[in-house]
Formats: sequence, structure tokens, C-alpha cells
Amino acid sequence: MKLRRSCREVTRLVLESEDRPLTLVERTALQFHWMACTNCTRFKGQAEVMRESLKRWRGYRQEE
Amino acid sequence: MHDFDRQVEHLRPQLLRYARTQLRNDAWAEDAVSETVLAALEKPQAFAGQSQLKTWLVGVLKHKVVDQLRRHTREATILSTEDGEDLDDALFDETGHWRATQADWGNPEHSCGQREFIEIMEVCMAQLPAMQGRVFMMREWLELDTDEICKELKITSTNLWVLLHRARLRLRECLQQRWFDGHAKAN
Repeated sequence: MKLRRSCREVTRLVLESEDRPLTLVERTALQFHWMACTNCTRFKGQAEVMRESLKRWRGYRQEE
Repeated sequence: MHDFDRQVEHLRPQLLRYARTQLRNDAWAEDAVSETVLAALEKPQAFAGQSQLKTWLVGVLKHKVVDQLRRHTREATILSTEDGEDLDDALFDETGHWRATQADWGNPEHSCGQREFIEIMEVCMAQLPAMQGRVFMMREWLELDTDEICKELKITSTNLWVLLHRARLRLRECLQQRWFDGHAKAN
């Protein structure tokens, strides 16, 4: 069980979580990493902005 | 021309724009849209009127673009040099740490609530390298799951994960440059 991940690996997991459910170990590793890493926490926020925006964009395409 | 025909024709440019961002090939996009319009004009009774005409047409178009991708699988899966480029090495050092400080994009409500931000995101999506753009749109617009995308394009899941990773990183990079650097601060 690998809990310590690099920023590069964490970034890959954050992006993959848009396309597949992460395993418990992966989710724990992310939580563990975010506690100590500002950059990755911000990246997580960026991914959230993208996800919300894509959702809204799909809505616009449907309505406009 | 009947009213129905005119309404369908009126929506053609928009359908074409959607088809282009998905297919990244003008000829295939034209075919997909023509097939969609034809299906509507030949069988107007299929449109029961319960939903918006546009919603119905887009629903048909989504099937037609997948047909096009199936028909042109080989060409649609050719990687350009740009498709092969990886941003990871530019973003991370040898030890896997960020090279530069990441920006705080703030509350999602602030940026994605703005129409202008969504429009910039559309530009960024259209600028993705062709193959990255196709798989990204299959995922985000057609809302297919990763297994379905692999099956339709006959690519391995390893290839797909790499492409989606690159596409999402590029989109992030583009939004950072076009929105958050500079003009967001002015707001």
C-alpha cells in the first residue's frame, strides 16, 4: 500500500478521477498529500473549476 | 419550405459547429450534420414535439458523429506530433515536484458562472490537438465512458488514459493563460 505519492502522481490521479472512481488507497493517498502540499491543493481546486465549467457548458449547449 | 424545415435549417450552423469540435474534420462534420438534417426532414413525425427541436436534433447528431468516428476509425486515431507532446516534464521536475507555484483559481462559482469564461473554455477545447480533442469531447460532450471510447475508436485503455491526461492538462494550461493570468485579476 503506497501512501506517499509525488505531486506528479497526485496530479495524474486527480485528473483520472474525472474518468474513473479512485480506489480507497488512492483517495487516502490524495488526502494525505493535500494536507502538506499547497500546490496540489490548488491544482485540485483548478480541476473542480474545470469540472463545474464543463457541466455548465453542457447545459448551455442543450439550451441555447 | 415548411415551417419545420425552416427551423431545422436554421439550426444547421450550430449543429455543424458541434460536429466540428467533436470530429475535428470538416468533411466528416458536414456528413454527420447532413445525415442529421435529412433524418429530421424525412421523418418529421419522429419529432414528437415534447422536447425542444434543438435538443432532439443534437440527440440525433450525437449518434451520427459516433457513426462517422466508426467509419473513419483509422484516420481518426492518427496521432499528430502535438498529440504526442507531454506537458508533465514541463510542469514537474525529476523528483516529481511542481516546478512553478500553482495559482489559486478561487471559488468555481466565480469563474464558471460567467458566460465569457465558458466561451474561452470552448476556444481552449477547440485548440486541443485533434486526437486529444476527439477523446476529450467523446468523454465530456457525448458523455461516453472510457470503455466505450476505447471500443469505438479501437484504441487501448493505456492510450486513452494518456490522451485524456494530456487533454485535461492542456485545457488547464490554456485557461490559466487566457483567463486567470491577467484579466481575472482585473475583475
